[in-house]
Amino acid sequence: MKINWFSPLPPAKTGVALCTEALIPAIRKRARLTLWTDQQEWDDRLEQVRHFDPHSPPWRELNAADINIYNIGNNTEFHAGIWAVSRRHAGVVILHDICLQHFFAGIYLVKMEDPQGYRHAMRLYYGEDGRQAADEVLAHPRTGEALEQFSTRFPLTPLALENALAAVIHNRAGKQALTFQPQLPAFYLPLPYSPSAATRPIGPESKSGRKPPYRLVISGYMAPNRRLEPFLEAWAGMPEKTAFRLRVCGPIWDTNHIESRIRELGLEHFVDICGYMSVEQMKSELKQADLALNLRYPTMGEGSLTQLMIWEQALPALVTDVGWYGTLPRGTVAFVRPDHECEDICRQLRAFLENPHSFAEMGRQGYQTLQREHAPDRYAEAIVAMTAAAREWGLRSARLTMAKRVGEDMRRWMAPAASDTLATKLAHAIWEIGGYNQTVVRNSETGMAKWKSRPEVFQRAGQQ
Amino acid sequence: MRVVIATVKIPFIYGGAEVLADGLLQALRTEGHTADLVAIPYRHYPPERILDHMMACRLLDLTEAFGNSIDRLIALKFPAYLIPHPNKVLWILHQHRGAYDLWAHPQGGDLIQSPNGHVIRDSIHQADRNLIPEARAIFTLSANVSRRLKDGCGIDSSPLYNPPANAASFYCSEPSDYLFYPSRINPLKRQTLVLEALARTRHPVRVVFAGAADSPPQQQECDKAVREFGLKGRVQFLGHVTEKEKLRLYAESLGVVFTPLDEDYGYITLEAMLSRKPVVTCTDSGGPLEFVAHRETGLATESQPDALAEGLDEIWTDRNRARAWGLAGRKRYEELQISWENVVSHLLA
Repeated sequence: MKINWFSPLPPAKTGVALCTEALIPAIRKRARLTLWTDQQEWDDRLEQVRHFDPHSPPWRELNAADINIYNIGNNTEFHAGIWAVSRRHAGVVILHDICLQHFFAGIYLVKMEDPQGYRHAMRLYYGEDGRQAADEVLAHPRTGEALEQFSTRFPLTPLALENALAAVIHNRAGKQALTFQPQLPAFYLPLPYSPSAATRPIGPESKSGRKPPYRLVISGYMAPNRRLEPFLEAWAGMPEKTAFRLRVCGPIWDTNHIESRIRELGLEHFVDICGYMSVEQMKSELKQADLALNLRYPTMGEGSLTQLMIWEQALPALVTDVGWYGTLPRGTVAFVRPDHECEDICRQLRAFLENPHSFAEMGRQGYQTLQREHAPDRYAEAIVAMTAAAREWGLRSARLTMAKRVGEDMRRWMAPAASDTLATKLAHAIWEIGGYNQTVVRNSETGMAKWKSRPEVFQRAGQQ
Repeated sequence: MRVVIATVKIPFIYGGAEVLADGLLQALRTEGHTADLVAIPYRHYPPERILDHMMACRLLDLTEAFGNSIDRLIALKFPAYLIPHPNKVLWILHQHRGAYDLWAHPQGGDLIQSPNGHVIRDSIHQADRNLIPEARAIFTLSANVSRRLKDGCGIDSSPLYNPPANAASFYCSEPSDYLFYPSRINPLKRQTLVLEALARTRHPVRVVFAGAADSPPQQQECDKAVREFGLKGRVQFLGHVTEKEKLRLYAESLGVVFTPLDEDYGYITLEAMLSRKPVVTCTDSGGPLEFVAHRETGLATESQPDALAEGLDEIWTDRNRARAWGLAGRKRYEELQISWENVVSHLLA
């Protein structure tokens, strides 16, 4: 079994690369795996890596695999080339984000400088509303406010799946977002993560023995949706604020602004801004912390590798009760409602002070969830199972593409009254070519051929 | 009987398949049947077009014409053999080889070089497997095509041989100093393999090639090989020759070289046998191997330049043996009773 896996690879600074790294041994136990990247450099410890040029993909090698798997997320830098191949060559698309408006805006407006293409895509999937939204985005290209406003309403996810045989999502709630393509097989797989063998999380008993001030940590890239600023505001308003210290481990979208807010809120003695950190440094920070902040709002439907790293250290975390985060098992994280953000942050911090042991237990539950749900072996099993189904999906995809093309052409010239009859015949022909397993029955006396279950054929073709 | 022959046609192309279709039409009419030829236009690129043509064939109705029933549909080529008919007989010249035996071949594969090629390939497989069995009988051009159909689709069939065009016109003359390779020039016919072999022969073997190149680069590749191997004076590329000239070239040759890769059938073998000439072919040449008995009517060598060179040297130097193998080839042809009458009787049974 041969699998082509398109993904950013380490040292690319993206969680998708880390996911891939975690999965490689598990998939290699079960199949021949070739990693494909359009990066110029990759970690030389990785084996069987091939470089591809998105403008001239290696079709022969793509066709020779049993399945091609494309990892697509919101970062144009890492995923534009992969998307370019995926739209021409059918395969399974792993969606690392459910809302891809930022990704496609980046491709059309920055990379391709094709505003008409962007407008066309928005109109194609969302009609006149989409076109108007596109016009607003185009009218305010610098502020990005319109983009933020429309990203969840017009996610443009279908554009990532236009040639997909099946979709994989890491967010259980995201399946609903794929209802626009009901015919597309869609699978939820928990984000894979391979805990470091060296990791021995500190048990809740020893963590609960700690004394104030407690150590808070927030890690990763600090975009506005990480809610750092609202957290600082809520925390600063608490009389118990001195019971905590916060370490900000990762680059901040606007460091000056955050530093000035920290001063304004009187938190300068309680917050350390640490800047960019390697994964290992980040893990070390998490290990020493008592509570992690992993808030997100809005969310693009992504799963959070950061959360899995938090669980790896058996660390409790505050998360926003939305998207992927909202689907996490109760008892493994502490939730903050997006519409009661300040109130809930304060409530949870007080709860922590009152009963640190229960939060430590939360971290332990998280660690168990990580081991149970997110094991790379489990993910790899599912990928291999998909490979077995890929041929059937391919036939189905060919049928649907043909039906769509024929339908679009017929619309231009076919009188509505006659279209039903012809459409039925066409559906029948498409179904036959694409894989209807019929049985031909021949009359032994006359030798005449006859379909065994013709009415059923028409019924199935009609449904198709 | 009212019979329609269904095939596909690429405009402006007239090759072996077209000759066969015309021959069958003539044979049916000669035997008193009302017969006509229906050729569906065909284009195999981009690959999605293949599916369009398959569907177009499925939508055709050839069960009657002007109220008169068509009693038998004889379908020859992919995707024309997908046309539905209650009394359909297939005489498959070949399937879409790019989806089967040539899928991964370095020169032969077209689908594998195309985006979504695997999806088109699987659709062709599925349609062939599901729809070929609609026919009341399945014949193929050769045992080689039958083997491929079995390997690719698990479908049984019987080979049915037909004579080359103008079979009665082939004759034999006193041989001159050349071997003859009549064929279109393309990578699957492997003219360059012959040139490589010529570079390794111990004797100054000469080969005359007749037939046009499918595209200019393919002729250029041969010309380059001639220069690189220093074969000037030992090979001749005549391009397209008339039928009369072809008959003479066969008749006056020492023997015929025909080294394609897995040929469906290969009229050239039969034409050589009709001309009483031995045939040098390769063990992976497909169709010719159904007729060439090694060291009885010719030679089947490995498709390596050294092995082929040895075979060419043998025919060149041992002319008595070459003559004997040629005569044996003609005798074998007679024994096979290859005739249009036989073809028609099977297709209309």
